[in-house]
Amino acid sequence: MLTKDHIFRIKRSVKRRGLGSFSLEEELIDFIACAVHEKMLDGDSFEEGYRQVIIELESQEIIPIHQSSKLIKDLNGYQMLQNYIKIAQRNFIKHSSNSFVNLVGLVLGLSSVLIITLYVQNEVSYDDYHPNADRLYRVNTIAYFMEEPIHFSGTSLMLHQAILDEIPQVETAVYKRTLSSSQPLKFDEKLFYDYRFNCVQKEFFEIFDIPVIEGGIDDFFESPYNVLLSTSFAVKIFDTVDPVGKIISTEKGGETYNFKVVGVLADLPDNTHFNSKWDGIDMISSMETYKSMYNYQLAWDINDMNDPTYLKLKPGTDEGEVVTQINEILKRKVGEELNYEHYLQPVQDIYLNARKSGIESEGDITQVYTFSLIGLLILGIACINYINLTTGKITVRTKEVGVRKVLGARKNQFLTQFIIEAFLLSFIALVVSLMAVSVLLPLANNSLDLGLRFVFFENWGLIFGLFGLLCVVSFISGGFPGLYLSKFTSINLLNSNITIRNRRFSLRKALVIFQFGISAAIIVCTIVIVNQLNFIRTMELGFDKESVVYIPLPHREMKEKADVIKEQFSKVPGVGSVSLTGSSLGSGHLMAQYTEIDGQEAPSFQLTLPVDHNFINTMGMKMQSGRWFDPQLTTDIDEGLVVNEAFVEQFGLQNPLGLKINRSGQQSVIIGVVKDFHFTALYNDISPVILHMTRDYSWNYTNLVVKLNKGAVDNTFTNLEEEWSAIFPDRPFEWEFLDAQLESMYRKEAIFGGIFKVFALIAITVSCLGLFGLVSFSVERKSREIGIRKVLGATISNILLLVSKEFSKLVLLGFLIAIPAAYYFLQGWLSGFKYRIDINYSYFALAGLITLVIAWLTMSYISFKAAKENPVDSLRAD
Amino acid sequence: MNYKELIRGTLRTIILKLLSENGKMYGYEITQKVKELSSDEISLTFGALYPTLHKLEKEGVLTTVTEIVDHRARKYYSLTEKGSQTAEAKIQECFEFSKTMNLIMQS
Repeated sequence: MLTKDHIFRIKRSVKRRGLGSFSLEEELIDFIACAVHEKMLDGDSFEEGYRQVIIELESQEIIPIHQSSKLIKDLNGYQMLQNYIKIAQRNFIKHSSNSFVNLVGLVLGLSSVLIITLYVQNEVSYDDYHPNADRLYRVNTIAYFMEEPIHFSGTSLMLHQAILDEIPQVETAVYKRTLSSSQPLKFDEKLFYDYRFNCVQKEFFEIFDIPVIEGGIDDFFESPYNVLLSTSFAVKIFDTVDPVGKIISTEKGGETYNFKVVGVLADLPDNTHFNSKWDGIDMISSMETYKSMYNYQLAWDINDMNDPTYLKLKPGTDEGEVVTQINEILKRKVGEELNYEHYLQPVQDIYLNARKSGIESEGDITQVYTFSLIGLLILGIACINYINLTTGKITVRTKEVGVRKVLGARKNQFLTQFIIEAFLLSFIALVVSLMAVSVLLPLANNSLDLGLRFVFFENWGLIFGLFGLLCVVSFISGGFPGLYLSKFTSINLLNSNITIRNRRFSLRKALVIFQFGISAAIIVCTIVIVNQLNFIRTMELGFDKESVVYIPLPHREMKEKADVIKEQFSKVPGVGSVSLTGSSLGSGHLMAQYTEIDGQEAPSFQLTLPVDHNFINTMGMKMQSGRWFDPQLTTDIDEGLVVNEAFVEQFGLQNPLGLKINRSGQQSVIIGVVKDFHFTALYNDISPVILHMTRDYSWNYTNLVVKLNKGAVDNTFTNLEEEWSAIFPDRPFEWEFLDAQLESMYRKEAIFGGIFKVFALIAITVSCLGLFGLVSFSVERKSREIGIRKVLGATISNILLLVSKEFSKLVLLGFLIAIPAAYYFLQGWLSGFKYRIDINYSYFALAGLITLVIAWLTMSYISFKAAKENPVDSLRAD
Repeated sequence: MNYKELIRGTLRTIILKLLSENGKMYGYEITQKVKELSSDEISLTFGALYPTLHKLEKEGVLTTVTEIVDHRARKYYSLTEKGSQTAEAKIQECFEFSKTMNLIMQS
């Protein structure tokens, strides 16, 4: 009979062997006990029987036992997972401030990545919804009329048919003629302005696949004056009434034209190049309609190249070959001495213009790259936080890690454990970020005008991408600490008197340098970008932009009414000065006219701006020499010209006054030189420009410009509108402030600057969170040192210095590394501006100061707390 | 004699057979019973027996009850409903097999 003591001895010996499973151990105990019991029944003592049984077991079963315990371990993978999760949970709670720092860092990082991904997805998605979008091209034109070649998207309307006839690689070719829609549409006695009216052929719908919601396009092309409306435009006109079959009308040259609505088209998605002011589609009719309305014949006419031609190439076609063939056709049709040629631009590239065609694009591929990079960098900073804080945490978690090591945890298990911990935290961070983004996105959309949409469960690409990202983040941020930890020996980990020594240059330090390098670089960039944008905003443009209002004029009725409205407006109280003029100085472009300048060999195209007597006062411009147009001298209207300084410089004129210039067949002389003013965005240099007066009102005076006196603006506008309605009863009164127009020229830059500000804030915050965590660990480790120093008489500032010295060096080093990177980037960005600030030391100094001060504030909070602590507390413990 | 190789293939059947005869048994009892029935020719080792028992338990063929006997826990194994059917089939299979083996070996 076995006693309790005997069983206890067996138990101890079995437990010592550690089978890894409680139930297996219990069974082995019973097994041994039974065997020993048998031996004892045969007359052996317990000692003897026990010895024999153990020998027997060991001799036969060393390997089988090992195998069986391994088997048990495999069975318990799930239990290990549970254990890891439990430990992760406990650690999370135990080191809650540290976990919070990690979590906030990851949330900020992931949210940035999320928003940037949405932004990038949106930017690159332009025009990829068309069927076979990769085979669609627009034919662009490059013209050599002026010194600089001009790019534009217009072609002759003859081109598409010639291409279809002669180039077999082209599957379909279509054009889109946009009608000038200055005449309102009329329905039910209501008038509708500002619609974009296009004439197309049948194939247009094949290429661009615009779904028809109501009615049909089957008999659309059979008779002229059938129209299709976009949904939003149909709603604008008809509200809830069914538009199909209704008649809308417009007037042209005294005749009334009736259009029959045969169908309603779906609105185009936002991410299409058809969305711009000129390219958009509100109403579509057939080319027959156009020909009939305008009595128009298609011709190869250089003056009639206003409409885009689109091609769909056959699969596998070489784009360059098609371009060569198109230009050959041109030479045959138009003549050898052609001063323009065509090239193809992929429709998908129209928005972003990654190929850098000369046509200005709305999107900017460089911004897409820049933001992607910044997103990744911020996420990188957040991952580094995690790595640093987790490796930092081992000094606190040494016991746990040590015990695990002693119990036989292997490298893989450490890795698994830490990756699982990282995954759990990143997962929580991801969920929080998703919530944060869906709340913050409307805010970001509003303040930066991004127009992003976030529908998580439709965006499968994003979901998979995020999951992938989560795995990568967990592997990086969990893997490093796991590897790092597995290198220490258990004796070092368990002995509380031995602290883990840092090598002089550790990974952790390198990572801190990297973090602060990135933060400092982004801060430098933000400072310079904001300064440049301010510089543009406040730059002396050569004219007044405050309180100046542009009012577009309806050109068909100009002849009779322009002088009337000018006079009426001048009488309105609050109005300082009124002028008739051409393009707004805030629109970014002027008309060009064919000009022969005396003394120049060849005629050329020069930019011109129609003005009147008042213009110089209205705009507050200054003369450089000569005189402005004299209201007393009627000859000035036809024969006088004023040029700008750039004109004088460009043509090297010693004595510009009196120089003869033939402008579009009108002989004139230069009577004055006006000081340079900026009529294009500040990306460009000031070009030569000719200011002239005119008798041909309708084509030259397209705007009325009004300078308001200070004060009583609201009232003034009401009065102006009254005057306007009296003179143009069926024209809406539209106006725009010049400074707002100028501002909108830099919309892209403003967004760029705004986003940089936000990211700079995020980057420095996340970096400081990391620093906060690291310094708290460092203080925790040094608590006894701090205690002893205090006892020996160290002041609080001594302690502050002690703690922050080490990290300040790292921050400073990171900043030094950031300088060349930021400098390189900013050089590139600024080179896009003709007028720009110089990058000088002060920007870097300021950024360095900001970085250091923020870092110091972070560190001093903790060190101050440590320094205030009573040394008794830190010294007593152990 | 060393039957290790041969036992490996039939261990499951042996366990099922014994449990279907005796109802509930604990590990050591099984080894002793095998020893007794095979006239000391076959002795199951702990390392061979328990993994098989655990595997069978996991498969749902066996069920266990733990009792405290003489200051220690003892785990009794017995067949589940599913186990009884498996046992029958296995035993039958084994008979067939040994008959076939006999035919080959005696030829």
